[in-house]
Amino acid sequence: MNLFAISARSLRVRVLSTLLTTLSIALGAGLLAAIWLLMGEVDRKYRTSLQGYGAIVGPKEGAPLSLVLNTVFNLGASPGIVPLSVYEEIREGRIRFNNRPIPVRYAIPQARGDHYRGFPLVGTTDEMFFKFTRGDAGTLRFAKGAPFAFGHEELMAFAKEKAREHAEGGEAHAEARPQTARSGARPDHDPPASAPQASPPAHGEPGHVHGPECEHDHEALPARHRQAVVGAEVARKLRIDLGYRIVPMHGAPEDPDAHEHQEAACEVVGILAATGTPIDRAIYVPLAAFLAMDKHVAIRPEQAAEHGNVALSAVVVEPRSTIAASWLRYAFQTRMDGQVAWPGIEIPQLLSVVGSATDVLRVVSYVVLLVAAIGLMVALYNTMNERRREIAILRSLGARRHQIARIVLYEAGAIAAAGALLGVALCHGAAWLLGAWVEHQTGVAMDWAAFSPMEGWLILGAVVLGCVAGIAPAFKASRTPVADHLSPTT
Amino acid sequence: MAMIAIRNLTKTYRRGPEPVVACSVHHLDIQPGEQVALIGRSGTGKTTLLHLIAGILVPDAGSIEVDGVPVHQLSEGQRDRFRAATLGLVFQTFNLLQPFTALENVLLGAVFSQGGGHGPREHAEQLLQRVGLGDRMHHRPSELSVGQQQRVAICRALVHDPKVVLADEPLGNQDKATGREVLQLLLELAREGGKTVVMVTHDPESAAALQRTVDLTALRRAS
Ligand SMILES: Nc1ncnc2c1ncn2[C@@H]1O[C@H](COP(=O)(O)OP(=O)(O)OP(=O)(O)O)[C@@H](O)[C@H]1O
Ligand SMILES: [Mg+2]
Repeated sequence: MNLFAISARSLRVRVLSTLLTTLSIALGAGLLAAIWLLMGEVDRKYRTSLQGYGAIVGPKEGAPLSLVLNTVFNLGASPGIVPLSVYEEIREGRIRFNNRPIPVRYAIPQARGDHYRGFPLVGTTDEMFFKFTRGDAGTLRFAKGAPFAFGHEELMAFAKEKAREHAEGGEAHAEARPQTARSGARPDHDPPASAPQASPPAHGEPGHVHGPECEHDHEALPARHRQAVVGAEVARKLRIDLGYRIVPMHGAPEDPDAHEHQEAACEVVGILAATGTPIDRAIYVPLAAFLAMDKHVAIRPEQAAEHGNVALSAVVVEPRSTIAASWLRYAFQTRMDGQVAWPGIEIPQLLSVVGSATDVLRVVSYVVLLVAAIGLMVALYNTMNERRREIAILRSLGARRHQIARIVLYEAGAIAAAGALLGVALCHGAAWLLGAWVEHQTGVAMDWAAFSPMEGWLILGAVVLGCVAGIAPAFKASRTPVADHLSPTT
Repeated sequence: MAMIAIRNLTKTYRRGPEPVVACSVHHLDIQPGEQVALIGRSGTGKTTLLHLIAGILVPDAGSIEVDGVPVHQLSEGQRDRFRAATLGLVFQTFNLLQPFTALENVLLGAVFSQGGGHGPREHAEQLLQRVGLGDRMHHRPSELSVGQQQRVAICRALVHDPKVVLADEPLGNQDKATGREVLQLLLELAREGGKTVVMVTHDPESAAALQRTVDLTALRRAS
C-alpha cells in the first residue's frame, strides 16, 4: 500500500470517467504522433529518393520541378527532350565554365515515356548500375542477376548508326510521310497539331504518338540490347523473375489503338534490391531498346543528322563538388539546348508548401491535446466533491495535505501517460492497419514500427501537461476540511 | 504522567448568529493503558473532543497533551504526523474505503505512519485472523456484514500500533449482541497492546465494560 496504489484504486473506481479522459488524451496524442509519423516518413522518403540525383539536366522548356518529378519520381510526363550532345559534353567534361571543365562524378542519360503494365520504362546505360550512387547506400544493388550490357560506347555507336540511317532514310521518306519523321523524333511528345495526317489516332497516353504506319525494325536491335533490369517492386508486383520477357505496351489494354512494341521486347536479366524509392518501380532498358520502340528513335528532321541529336528525356548528373554544381548552373544559364534542375532545391520547396498544411494539422492536434487536458482537469475537479469523505478518511489516518495532493496528481499524470501511450499505440496500430492503403494512395510507405524519440517526448510532455491539469484538483483535494466530512451526513 | 492531559479546553463555532460552544473541558487526565468511556447527551461535544485530541480540530483555548506532545501547539503537518504515529481512530460509520479490500483497508492504517514494507502486511493479516476475518481478507467492505466491517475498522486503528485508540460510538450501528462482541474484541486487543482507549458511547451497559466513565455533560457544567 502506498500513494500510487491509492491513486490507481481510485482511478479504477471511476472507470468510465478515467476511460473517457484517457481516450480524449489519446486522441490528441495519437493525432500528433500520426502527423509526426507521416511527416517523418514523407521526409525520409523524399530524402532517400533524391539520393544520387544531384542535378538533372533536361529540356529548356518546362518547369524544373516537373523535370525533377518526372526523373526522380516517375510523375507526370517528361517535359521535352534534350539532345544527346548535351549528355556527351557533360560526361566528357567538354562543358566549361570560365574555361575550366566542370568535374562530375557521373552523367547518366535517361529517356522516358513508355510504360509496362503501369510501371515506367526508363531507357539508360549500364552506368545507372555502375556509377549512380545513392549516398551511403552506394550503387544500386542487385537482388538477382546482373546489369544489362549497354554502356556509353554502345550508346555512341548506336547513335551514330541512327544518324546515318536518318541521313539516308530521312531524305527518302521526308516528302511522303512527314509526320512519321516528326513524331519519331521525340521520345515523348505529341506531333505538332499542324501535322498532316489522314486519321489522327486517339491515344490513351498523352505525349506519345504513333503514326498509323508503324515501322517495326526487328532486325536492327541485337538481342544483347534487348535486356531489362527491373526494380524490386516491379518484380514483386508483376511476379517477374530472370528470363521474363517484357513487351512494352503502348496505350491502355482496352484502348483499340493499344499495341505491343514487340520490336523492343526485353528479357529481364537483373532484379534490383529494394531501395524504398521510386527506383523500385522503374524498369530499366538499354537506351537502344527504348529508342527502338516505334519512332522513338532519333533525330528531329530540322536538325542536322548527327548522332548528337539523338533525343533524351534527361541526364542525371552528380557534380563533384558544390563549386562544380554552381559552375554547372552558370554554364546552363546561357545555353539554349537545356537547363539544370536541382532536386535538392525543388523538392524541399514543394514540401514547404505541403508543410504549411501539416502545420495547421499540427496546431489542431496541439489544441486537441490541450482541450483534452482541460477536460481531464474538469473531470478530476468535479470528482473532488464526491471524494471529500474519502479524503477526510485518509486525513484521519494521518495523510498530510501534500500526500493527498500527490494522490490526485498521480491520477492526472497516470491518465495523461496512459492516454499518450494509447495514442502513440493507436497511431502505430493505424499505420500498421492502413499502411498499405496509404502507400497505395500516396506512395508514402509507412513503417508502423518506426518509433521516433519524439514520441518519448510526446509521452513525457503529456504527463507534464496532465500533472499541470491536476494542480487545481489536487489543490482542492488538499484543502478538503477533515472534521466536517468524516461522517456521511454531510 | 497522564497519557492524555486536557486543561481549560474550549472549542467554539461562530458560524451562526450565536456562537456555539461545541466543547468545553476544564480538566481531564487519562492514564496510560486506561480504558475510558465518554458519555454525555447529544450535542455535548463528545465527537468534538475526540477530534480535538486527534488534532483534526484545533482548540480556541486551552491545552491538550497526548503522550507528552502538546497537540494544540502543533502545525497542521505535525498534527497529521502525530495522528499517523500515535492514534488509531474508530468511527460509528466505520469509514472504510469502498474500493479497497478488508486487508488493504487495514494496511491503509499504516501507510502514513511508516509507509509500506512487509511488516504491516503481516501484522494486518494477524489482526484480521484474530478478529475472525482470516477468510474475508480480500473482500470489499460492501461484501461484509456490519459487525465484520467494524472489526476491520478496529484492525485498521491498531495496525500501526498506536498508543491511543479513539472510538466514536463504534457500536452505534450494530445490534446489541454484535456490538458486545465487537466491544470485547476492541477492549481485549487494546489491553493486550497496553493501549489507552477513549470510547464515546450512549449505551450504559457498554460504558460499564470500561474501567472508567467520564460524563461530558458534567465536565461541561463544571467548567
Ligand atoms: N462544524 C460545526 N459548525 C458549527 N457547529 C458545530 C459544528 N460541529 C459541531 N457543532 C456543534 O457543536 C456541538 C457539539 O457537537 P458534537 O458533534 O461534538 O456533539 P456530540 O456530543 O458528538 O453529539 P452526538 O452524541 O449527537 O454525536 C453541537 O451543538 C453541534 O451542533
Ligand atoms: Mg458525536
